[in-house]
Amino acid sequence: MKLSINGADVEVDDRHAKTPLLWVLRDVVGLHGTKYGCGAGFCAACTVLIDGRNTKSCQTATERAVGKVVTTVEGAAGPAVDAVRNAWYQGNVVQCGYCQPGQTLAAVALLEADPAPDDAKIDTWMSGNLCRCATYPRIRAAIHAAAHTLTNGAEPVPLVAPDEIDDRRLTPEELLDPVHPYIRIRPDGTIIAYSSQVEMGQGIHTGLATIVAEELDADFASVRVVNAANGRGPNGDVYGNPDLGSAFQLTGASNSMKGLWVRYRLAAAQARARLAAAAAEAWEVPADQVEVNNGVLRHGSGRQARFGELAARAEQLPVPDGVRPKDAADYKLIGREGRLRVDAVPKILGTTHYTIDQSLPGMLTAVVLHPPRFGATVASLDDQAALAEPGVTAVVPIEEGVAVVAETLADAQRGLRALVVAWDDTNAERRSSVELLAEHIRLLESGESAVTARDDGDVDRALTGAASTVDATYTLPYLSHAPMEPNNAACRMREDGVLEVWVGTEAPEYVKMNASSIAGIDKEQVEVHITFAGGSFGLHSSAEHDPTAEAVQVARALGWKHPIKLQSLREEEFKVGRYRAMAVHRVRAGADADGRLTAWHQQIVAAPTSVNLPFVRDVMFTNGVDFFTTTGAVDPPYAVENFRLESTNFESPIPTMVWRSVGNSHTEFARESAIDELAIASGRDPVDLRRELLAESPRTLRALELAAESSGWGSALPAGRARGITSSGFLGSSANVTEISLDDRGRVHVDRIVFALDCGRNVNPDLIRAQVEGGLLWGLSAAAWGEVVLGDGGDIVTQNFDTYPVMRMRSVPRIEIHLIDSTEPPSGVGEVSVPSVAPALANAIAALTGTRIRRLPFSKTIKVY
Amino acid sequence: MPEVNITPSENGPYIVSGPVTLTAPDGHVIEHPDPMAMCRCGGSSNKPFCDGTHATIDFDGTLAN
Repeated sequence: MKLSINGADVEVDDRHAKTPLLWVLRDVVGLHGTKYGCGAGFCAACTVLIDGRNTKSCQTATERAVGKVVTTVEGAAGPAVDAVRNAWYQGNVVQCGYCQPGQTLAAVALLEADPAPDDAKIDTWMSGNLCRCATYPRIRAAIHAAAHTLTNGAEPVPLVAPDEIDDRRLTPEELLDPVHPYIRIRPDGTIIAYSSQVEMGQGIHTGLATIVAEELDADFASVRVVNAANGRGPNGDVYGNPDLGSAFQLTGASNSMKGLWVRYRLAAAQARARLAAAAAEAWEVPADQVEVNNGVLRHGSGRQARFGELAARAEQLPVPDGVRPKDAADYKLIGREGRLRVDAVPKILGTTHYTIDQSLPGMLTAVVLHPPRFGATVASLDDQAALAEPGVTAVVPIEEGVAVVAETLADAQRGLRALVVAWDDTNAERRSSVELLAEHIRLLESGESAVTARDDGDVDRALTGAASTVDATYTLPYLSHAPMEPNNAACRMREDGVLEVWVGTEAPEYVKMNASSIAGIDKEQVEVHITFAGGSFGLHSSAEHDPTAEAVQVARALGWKHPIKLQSLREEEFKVGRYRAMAVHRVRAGADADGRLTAWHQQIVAAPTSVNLPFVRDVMFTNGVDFFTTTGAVDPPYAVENFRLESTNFESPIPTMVWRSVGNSHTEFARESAIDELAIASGRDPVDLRRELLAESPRTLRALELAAESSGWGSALPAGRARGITSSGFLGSSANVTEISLDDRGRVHVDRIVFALDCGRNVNPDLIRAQVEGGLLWGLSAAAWGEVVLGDGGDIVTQNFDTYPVMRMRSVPRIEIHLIDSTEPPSGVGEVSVPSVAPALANAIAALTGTRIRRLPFSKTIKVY
Repeated sequence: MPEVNITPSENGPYIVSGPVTLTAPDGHVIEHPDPMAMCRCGGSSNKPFCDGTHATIDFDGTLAN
């Protein structure tokens, strides 16, 4: 077959005639900018232009592209392309970036068809393209901006991808330097910041660049950031999470900025002091007479030098004593608007390397067929038909299922479909999600395995004496992360016995433990290369039975002869689980005659999550209580004299994993719903009740007041509309007011979400807003429609986006974010807004309809759109 | 004669099972799984198939009779 791709004629073997164009582009032609997200036409991450029309390449047999003009992200060019890409960049649209080549091509096709689309047109056109970071509001704004640029006749300049930066492993001497592992300055003046925190969309690289540029007094544009790893040296892991005492490298718990704030401000200040010392030495002047501004060192004598000129000399000098970060009054970047994401351009241009894009000489691709029920194992395997498929080189039974190894993904997938496997259900989870929920409720009611997590005062007496009470049970389903890039891993055993692993992990230490134990080598013989993650949301925190484990098992089985790329198919990722746990809560609360909260008794049943995280479980699972189950319940922002919390650990082979906002994603639904129910029962305004309970939490109180005021809380709304409110001390201090309306069929439309947040010092306000927006839409998607279903006999029914509906552009409500300026150290913002959405919506629905919905997703009770 | 079943799911797609040929307006035969979910809400970006959009939009799939 002859194809026309990006203006060139490309000859492709006829055996690929029926292969989806996506895989021919990626694995045969070697164009990796076009992404796989679902393989079934649900997500459009694979969008290319065919004769100018945005088309899903995963649904296009390659033979159907013959005689047509195929344009991928690599070849797209012209005014509309440049206008779109510039608008994406200037609008800080990109987060994880994985879907953005598809999004931008769809936007280009839209603007070619309609040079001035309105919101409704944009929403309809773009709703095929999923984005789990939920960058939709910014995509919509960027399309308007691009349309404006084009109609004004402006000529946007093409974006240019910067060179890739080599991530050479540090030498032992370099590891001992206080600055070197974190910041290096090249002779050309490029400042490289080595981030201990993986960039998975949350924008931490841009936050780091801001801190480094600020403390170095460098030009922000000169700072480049890379994911760092392999930092273990004589003094521990230089990339160990600073907020966890540097014990081991981990990105999670929204503590990245909190940790970088300490470590990298100091390292950058030290680097600056060393540059000044180098200048002083070279110019024979006192160091305190050297001024630093925007990447240039100057002395009153007229001497001056750029950073790059003195960097090598500075590296040889000791760090001067007593270096401290700047006073906040001197900030030029921190807290200011205008920073554009440092990772945006390569992501927009499709040149960012995600794990799926890893390519090595001789590399083979593997996919794994996982059991259809959790805990089932292979009883018998017939791999003859699979091995007969062209391109398939091996079938390897592994602990997690059966791996098919092939030259390309499409070959491997055909092989996987040809496998004949009988499953042994001896240890399988055979219960459906309905039966599992019933068992959670039974355990809640019997209390037979309950452990007391906290017990203050006398709850029973206070409840008996209460003037008004609430007794309510809340249920929440299993949820999947479903990031746009399914979790992948690649590995290669080098001739020197070092096992290299490429993976977009949140926990490189887990990767080393996992890979080394399977390979039978020392942990430090594993070298991790952290790729950009196409979303994670907690999923990539796994320590076992994940793509890393699968890749290493396959490579080992093939005698380490081939580098292996293990690619997760969307269906297989759903079948691996690692869900947000199903959870059931019962809250009994009481108020006195004045409506003051006097008693709170909460019981929780959920599978524990921290037990799946080495080291973390040692401190988070204590005395039978999982903090990841009880967070948000055991430590509410409200002061209650009589308080008891009991927790029961549900047992099942269904794996659980931290999921954006972890336990708060369910505990706050129960807590904030129950507070609202109690306010109604005692005849109080929900804001008044919270105001009283937050007397000792001034920051959360301030967020509550700000959200209430900004949303017009208390003012009349037109008929058929209502508001719901929540407040939280989770990570930062926040409050959410959600405004809804009811249509003539009794269905709920979410019109507006107002979110007030105190997250300490606002390092980059626009990136904070982006995370809060994404978190709200993530939370809304889960609350409204999210549920992983196990059918009769435990069959995993939910396997792709058709049965796991996620937020699309046309369902995005109006979002208003109010940031509180603060001089406190910054706290994380990636998860902070997620837990508020479900209870705020439940409270609004109750206010509007009188119906209290205690079961998620809402779609089981009422339509939300 | 082989049996073909079409079931409009509750506020969701038509579930079509059995040996059916799906032909595009240009005459090419569209490959599909069995059973397949066919868009009923009009909102799919993956027509003629369902992409899950029905759950997230203003669609009422109540049968007329």
